[in-house]
Amino acid sequence: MVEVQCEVMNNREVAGGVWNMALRSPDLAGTARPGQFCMLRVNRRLDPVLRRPFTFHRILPDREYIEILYKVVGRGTDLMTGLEPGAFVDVLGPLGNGYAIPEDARTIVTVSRGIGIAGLVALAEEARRRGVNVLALASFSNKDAVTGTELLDYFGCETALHTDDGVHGGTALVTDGLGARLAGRQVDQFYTCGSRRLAMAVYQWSAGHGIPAQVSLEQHMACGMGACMGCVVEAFTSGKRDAKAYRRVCKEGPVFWAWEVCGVA
Amino acid sequence: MPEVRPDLSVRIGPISMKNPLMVASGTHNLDYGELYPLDILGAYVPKTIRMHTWPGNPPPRTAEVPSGVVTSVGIPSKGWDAFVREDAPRLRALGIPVILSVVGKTEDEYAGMAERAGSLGFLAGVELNLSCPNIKAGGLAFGSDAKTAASLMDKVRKATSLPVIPKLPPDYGRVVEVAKACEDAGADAIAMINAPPAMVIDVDTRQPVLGNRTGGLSGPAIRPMAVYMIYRVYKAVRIPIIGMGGACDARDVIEFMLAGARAVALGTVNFFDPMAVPRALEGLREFTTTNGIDDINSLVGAAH
Repeated sequence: MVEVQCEVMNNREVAGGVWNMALRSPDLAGTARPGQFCMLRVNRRLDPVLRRPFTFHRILPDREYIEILYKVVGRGTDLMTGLEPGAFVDVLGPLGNGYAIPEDARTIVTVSRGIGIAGLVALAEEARRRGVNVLALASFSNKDAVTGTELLDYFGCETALHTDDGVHGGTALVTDGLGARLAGRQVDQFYTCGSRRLAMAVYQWSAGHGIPAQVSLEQHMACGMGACMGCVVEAFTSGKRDAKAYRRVCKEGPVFWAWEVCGVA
Repeated sequence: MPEVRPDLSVRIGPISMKNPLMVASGTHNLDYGELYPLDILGAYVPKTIRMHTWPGNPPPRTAEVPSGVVTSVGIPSKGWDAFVREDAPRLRALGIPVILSVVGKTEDEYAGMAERAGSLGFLAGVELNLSCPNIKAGGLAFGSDAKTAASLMDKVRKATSLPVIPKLPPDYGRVVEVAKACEDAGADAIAMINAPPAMVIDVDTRQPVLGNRTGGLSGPAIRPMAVYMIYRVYKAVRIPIIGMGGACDARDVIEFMLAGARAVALGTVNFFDPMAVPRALEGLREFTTTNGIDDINSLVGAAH
């Protein structure tokens, strides 16, 4: 973990209300793992006072930069869109626990909804680098919101795109037809991010088939370092129903096993 | 001319600190040691502990406001035994004074923890969080009136020979009399201020944002309130004051000292500026050098 002043290399809108920011940092690019996150200080002033958490969208150690993907949802992210190339921003990271790709994995499946694709792109890039097959199911509200899928194609993932407006021929729920799509295939692990409803759907399907799943959670955070105890979610800490506790998304997460946050294995 | 290093050391009762910087309980943890050596601090205050385990309040626990945060974490705790087993050895290894912040639901809980704190052998003092509801007094905070605070202070005083530092709720009307009552009952120092009660309501849902509905406001937004209350209490008591409440950098620390604080804890700033402690320390060295201040104690109460 380091606090670094990163130069903004690029900051542009890549889909409706969704922006991509590239930040030069040999430290972050060299140490971050997919699923981990950083805390970005929007400006040096005190409003907004808190940093904002962002998962790593791309981690490029050779080119010494990282990318984040962010949706403009409030004052902090709105101000971020004004950061121009050459500006410097204060970034703390890498933080939290990343995704785990099993040693002998041959095929993994990622399931995302909207901006939740951000961190799964970093995971897919790492998996493809290791020769693991990736089936990426990506769902968006409409065709203008689609982002990240061209990268998945570029990495050589098998990408299935769904949009609610059906332009891409998808159905309303990305998990619909999961069974048919995966019939006869050996899947080693599932991954999902963001939407609680999606996490439940993935958990139910994967648990029913005895396949482990990891879920990355989003939560408002004050510190990102486990100090403020503000970002807790109720989660199971063992296979017993009475072992439920508040766990910090920043420290014990943001990546959890699906059974920890969705049910008991 | 050889550079003269200004003397930054201060004393809080019997506690010797190499500089006035501390961290406020619940705003820091030992992971910050990955960013800078924690022994640069004058003293360390870990997150407030309870005798028994406690899950804390339901989320959401934080709501951001301009220049501040309203939080309602509820002091989750793994209990005394887990603290002794897991945290105490790491705190002892810091090699600087460690002041343990405790909270209880009854006087006996406070006294019991203070007594046990003494038996650990390495703690420099005990801070009593007086903003917690007193079950016997129908849920009023221990620090909400002079009599209740003095009664608790007296009980804790008899239970330990460690320095005892009550941390006062920020009650404009009563803070001076509560501070005096604590002094008369044997307090070695006063810590102030705790986070003022606050609320944020979501106008779309028409409901309070926090899971606990109410919380405490912290961060730079409350600094002038803290400075004012410290200023008033300084005039009324002889024991040292540990100031806190929105201090972010060296100039804030000096402002608190001018009002009457002898040591200053950085709190919420640790959340958004995790390097605040080393930056403030460097700033204190710079300020004292530039202004020819040989002894930082000369600033204490200088605004009066």
